[in-house]
Amino acid sequence: MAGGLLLMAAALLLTGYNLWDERRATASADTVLLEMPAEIRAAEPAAPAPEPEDPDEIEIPDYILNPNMDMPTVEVDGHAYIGVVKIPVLGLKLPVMSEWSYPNLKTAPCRYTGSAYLGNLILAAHNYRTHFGGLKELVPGDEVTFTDAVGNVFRYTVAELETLGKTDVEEMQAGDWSLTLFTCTYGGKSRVTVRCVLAESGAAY
Amino acid sequence: MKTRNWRGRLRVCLTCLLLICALLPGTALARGLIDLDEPTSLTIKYPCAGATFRIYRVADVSETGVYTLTGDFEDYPVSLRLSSQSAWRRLAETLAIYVDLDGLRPLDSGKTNSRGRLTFSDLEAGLYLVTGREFIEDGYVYTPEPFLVALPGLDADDDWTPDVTAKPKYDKEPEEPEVETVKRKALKIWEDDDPDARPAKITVQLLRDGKVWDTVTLSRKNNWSYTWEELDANFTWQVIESDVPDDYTVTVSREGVTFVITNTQMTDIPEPPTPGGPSEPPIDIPSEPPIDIPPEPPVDIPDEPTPWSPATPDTPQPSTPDVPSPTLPQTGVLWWPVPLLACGGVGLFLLGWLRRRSEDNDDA
Repeated sequence: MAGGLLLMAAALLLTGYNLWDERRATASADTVLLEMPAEIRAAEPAAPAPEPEDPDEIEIPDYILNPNMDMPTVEVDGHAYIGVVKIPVLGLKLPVMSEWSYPNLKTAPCRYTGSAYLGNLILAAHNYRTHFGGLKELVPGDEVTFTDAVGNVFRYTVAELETLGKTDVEEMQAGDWSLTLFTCTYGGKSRVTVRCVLAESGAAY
Repeated sequence: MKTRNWRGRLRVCLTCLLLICALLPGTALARGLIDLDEPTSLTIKYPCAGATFRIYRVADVSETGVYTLTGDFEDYPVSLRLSSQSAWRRLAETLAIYVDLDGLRPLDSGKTNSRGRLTFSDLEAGLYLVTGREFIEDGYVYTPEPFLVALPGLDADDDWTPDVTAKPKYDKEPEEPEVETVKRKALKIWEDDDPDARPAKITVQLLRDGKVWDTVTLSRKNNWSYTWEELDANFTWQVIESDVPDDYTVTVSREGVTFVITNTQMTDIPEPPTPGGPSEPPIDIPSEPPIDIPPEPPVDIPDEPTPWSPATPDTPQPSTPDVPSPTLPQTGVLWWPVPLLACGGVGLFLLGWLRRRSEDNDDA
């Protein structure tokens, strides 16, 4: 009986820790969002400025002139962020760190690899309910937007969902997907992977 | 005797009354008392049609012409006991600032008609502040000064009159033509194989009609980009890199408002000799016989192992079986042990409980 009680206590303690950790992660991401510049946090394209008649006076975004450029970052609390990802159907708006690490993942989703400018951005996040825990609920056609650190907004549409193994590194980067989001399954052995393509409206700036 | 005494007293009283009257200001006697129940009006005469004015009631007035701050103005730290015209003007300017600062609602507002007239009527007796907005007409900017007006006012005969006409003072300046401005941007692009060999920063100059107008530094910190806003469009603006790093060449191209400065790393390939060059005497080099170089045998170079956390999109993927397989980041919260622990715990508890019950039954 004592062993049984011990196991139940362990289950309770682990549940408590997980719930506390999730609340902490939610608060961390919210704090980062608040400290980001408003034009990034808004994650909405600003009203387009009237196009000048003189072609010499048109402003072309840097990433179009130089798609190979590093994604600009904005620094918050000593961490570099490349922008904000928004998944309206899940009610999510989260900052995205430039480089992934386990400590970074405890705060916000991270860039696993790639660039929005090259159309191969892959984002990873913990399966906290307020991070990427709801990815499995997405269906093809759902909208995902990404706003970079200088306010360029990229609109994507969910194309398909797949489940990859934890060693499927090549498969994760395979295919011609403009944006990929992934997180662990409940058991932690596989990865829920959401593949997105650039929406028809595409990049707005 | 009684009659004589009465006359004497009357004479003394009349003398005292005359003395008191002499001490009083003569105007007060001339103006009389203000009829506080009589509605008043203010007519503004202005040189522009369509100019907007707002009127605010600042103070109550007593029958004897004493003003007391009222309404929204009641608590402002200003004095109405002023002696000079300039002091009243300064007070009007001060109150106008308070009005803007606190967003006070005017009692009324209106625009001048085609003859430049605007009348506020049915106004209660008191002291009023009138403010006007900047107005542009015929290439001139008219800026009226705020002013205070007492209603009722005094006419030419120094009598109170309910209908007052005011001609606000104003500034008239020629409208400045809007200067057309342009934006110019510098963007650095590196074309090289080794990003670590790049300088930490470069310097670019903005030229106005060919002369240096501004110098800025581009670095990773500003994402190798800089924007100049609101430059006078009457000039020609260009951007140039001032100190090109060693081993790099530079080209500048313009794309819209952006000057793209491309630094290309120079390779070590020697340039082919220029035939017939003045400094090189013609040398008759016998042509070498063709040598058959067998093609190199294909070498099977195994892929280098990749760190299991790729940071760039073009990181090669691992395929060596000797190294541990790279894995994707572990992004799961540790939920899976919870049901196992809970079920195991309940099972063990029930098992123990059943065993104890069975032992108790045996003992009984």
